[in-house]
Amino acid sequence: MNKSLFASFSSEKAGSSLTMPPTQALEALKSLLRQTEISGAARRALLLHTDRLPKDLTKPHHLRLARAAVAGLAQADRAQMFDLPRGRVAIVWRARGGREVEQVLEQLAHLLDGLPAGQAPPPADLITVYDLPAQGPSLVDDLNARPPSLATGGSQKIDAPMLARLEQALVQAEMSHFVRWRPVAILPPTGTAHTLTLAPLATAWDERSIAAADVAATLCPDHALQANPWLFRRLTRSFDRRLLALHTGPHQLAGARPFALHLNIASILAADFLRFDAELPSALRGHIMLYVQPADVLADPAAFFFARNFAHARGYKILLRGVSLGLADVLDITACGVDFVQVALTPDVATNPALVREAVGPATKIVLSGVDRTETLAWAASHGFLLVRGHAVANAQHEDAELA
Amino acid sequence: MNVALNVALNVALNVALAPAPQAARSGAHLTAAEQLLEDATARALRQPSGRLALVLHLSRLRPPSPRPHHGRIARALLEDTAQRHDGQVFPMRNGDLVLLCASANAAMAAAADAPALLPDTLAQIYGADAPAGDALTSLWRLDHDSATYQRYLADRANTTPAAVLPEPAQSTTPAALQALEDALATTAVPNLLGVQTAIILRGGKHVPLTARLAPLFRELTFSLAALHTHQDTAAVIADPYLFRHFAARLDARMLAYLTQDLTDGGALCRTAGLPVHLNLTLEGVVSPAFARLVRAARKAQVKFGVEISLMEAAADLQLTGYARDLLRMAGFTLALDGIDHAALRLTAPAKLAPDYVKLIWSTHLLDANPATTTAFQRLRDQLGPDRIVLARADSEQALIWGQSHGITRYQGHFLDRVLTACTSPSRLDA
Repeated sequence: MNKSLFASFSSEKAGSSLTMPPTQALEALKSLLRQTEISGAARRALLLHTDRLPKDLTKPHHLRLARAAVAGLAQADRAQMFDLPRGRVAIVWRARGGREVEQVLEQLAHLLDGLPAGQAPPPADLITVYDLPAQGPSLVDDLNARPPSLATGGSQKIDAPMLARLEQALVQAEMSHFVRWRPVAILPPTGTAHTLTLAPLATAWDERSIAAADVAATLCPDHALQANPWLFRRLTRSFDRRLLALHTGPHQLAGARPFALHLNIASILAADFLRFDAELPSALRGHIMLYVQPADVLADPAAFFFARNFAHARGYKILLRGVSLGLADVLDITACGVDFVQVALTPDVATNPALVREAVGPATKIVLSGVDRTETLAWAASHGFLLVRGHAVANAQHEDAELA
Repeated sequence: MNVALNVALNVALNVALAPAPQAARSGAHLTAAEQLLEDATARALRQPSGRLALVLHLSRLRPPSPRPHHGRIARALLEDTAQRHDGQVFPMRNGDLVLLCASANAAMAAAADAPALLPDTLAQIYGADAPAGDALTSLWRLDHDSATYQRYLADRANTTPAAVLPEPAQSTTPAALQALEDALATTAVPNLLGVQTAIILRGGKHVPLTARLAPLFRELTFSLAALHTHQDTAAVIADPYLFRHFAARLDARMLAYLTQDLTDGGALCRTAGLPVHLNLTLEGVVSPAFARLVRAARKAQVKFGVEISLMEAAADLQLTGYARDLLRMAGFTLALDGIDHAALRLTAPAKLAPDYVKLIWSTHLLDANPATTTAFQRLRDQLGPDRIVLARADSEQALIWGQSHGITRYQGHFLDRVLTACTSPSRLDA
């Protein structure tokens, strides 16, 4: 196992005496919740949301302090502590009517003291306390919730009428400043840590998508768009229409290098895409990627097959996002017939890189995402992951790769 | 429930709402586009050399195709060729598209975008939705094959108009969605639910069908009829994501209603040991309302199963695993729903360890398509035939296919009616 690679997963847990990796801890916590539900044993649980800490308090030592603020609870009766993914910490204990939670709040208040007035959140916002077994499902919901960087802005869920209002607003809204570019780099197979750090990376293509978080912050700052995942997925079709419009026409794409668009299957089959396709400069045909999501593929597999065949006939390449080893167990990647898959660099991928190739089949090219550390570039190249994206790629110098 | 099923459920509604076919002109049974094609054909036949007629037989695609995107993409592809080859595209009443164009000289005929190459491209795109053996396209050179082409045109008058399937609304109004939200919040729960029984069909060809049927479980389905409150409701519900949102909104009300029914010793307590299947979202399974239902079900000793759509299960594998464990602990069975022929080719549903997989019947399963055959065999081997329920099995063809593949569990309106007639089980007046 590559220690430097794993540092990116373990740095947030510095100071802890972990006995299991975060994903395993998450499963262990869920198992405990099930046991309390079956036995009816009264317990309390506290979830520390380190991902809600203000930006100025997200350095490793801040995270250690936040963890220390709740660690006192580990001394409580029957206490069990779980270091979870994304630096979150959960503790389950048998409450005896003590001041445990108050003490945690006092510790957190102390941690937040140093922040300028108005920037510190109330300490109570950083933790959630649950009475088990009754509130076990709420805890599971919170454990499964997406990170706040995705669950944008406010806390209210959007409802269906609000979705319609947002769709109407998006027809007219100026969207060009919401488009984000992220480079995907192609690494030389012989790249070493030294060469990959010093030389500019070759850009294979740019991903272009609408920044949902920024749109939400502008159009509905009190609402968390992704708190209602189905309505959010639906809303992304409006993003697609605007993204396609911004890329339609020879003037929009003058001098453009290969790029990728995040689209829904339904959008690939819609009139907006046909307009985009009709006006695509011939020099770019064959060099455009269309990114699709597994849930969208399974929402309408027949439409996916048709869209894939149509896109291929018109010279587009298809990339399937969000592929994990778990998903590859259920979804037959080879049968999907896509050109690329995007796999996140998670601990199981880092531990078993060969399994990824086995899972996606020999014909599918892999884009490794979450490559956030420069040291990881060489690890990726040495394991045959030659297409990479992440902070290490975004922050590097770039040069255009030869068009394939 | 998947999109294809949603679409199919809405066909009848849409046909009823669809405008009448365009009136025939001057006494002929032709639409305006067909009349224009007649005129264009007459002109082309005066100088047929180098002219081509290509028909894309969208009407031959297997139900629930052709869907709106089939026509839209085809129109764009054919219009593109028409623009570059002095041509024109004509939509036929049965959904077919006719391209009449020129390929005047050898250079044009050999070009990469030559009309004669279109059939290959169209086969690549539409092949998966076309029945094996039936030609998807016809290509006639008017200087050689005009008689066959004209016979095709003459037959147009005898074809039936294509039912245009509803397209998921690209955008809708707040008022329309508010009306749906209101309908969900205020309509009595029983009016939002339908009941359908799944059956076990035992062997014995010499035994009458009625004697071979036994109920397997009774499913409470989300009835769409009560939500037809607005003219574009069908299009809204055809959208898989809006549908799932509204299904999730129903969860809490349904669970509360059923819990109360169990507590009161209502209809659910008179199911004679037959499990009741509920369609729930994953969020519904992990909700406190579900835990209350579990407690009431235990007390009333009523068996339940929960049906989760494959799309939702695959979208959050972690939550699916947790929900499955909760169901196991509660003694509920898990059925994975929404697996049509295409989903079957793409997935290994058995890996999610369900108790049942509901495979949606369609004529696509009749194919000798190796991918479909292999996928079905894999499912049967991994899960066992007794855990596959052939859903929407409303035809003799479906039952014959099922039996020839070792399937003994079925579900469909027809079988439900037969079972009701021959066993008169106590109805679930939910």
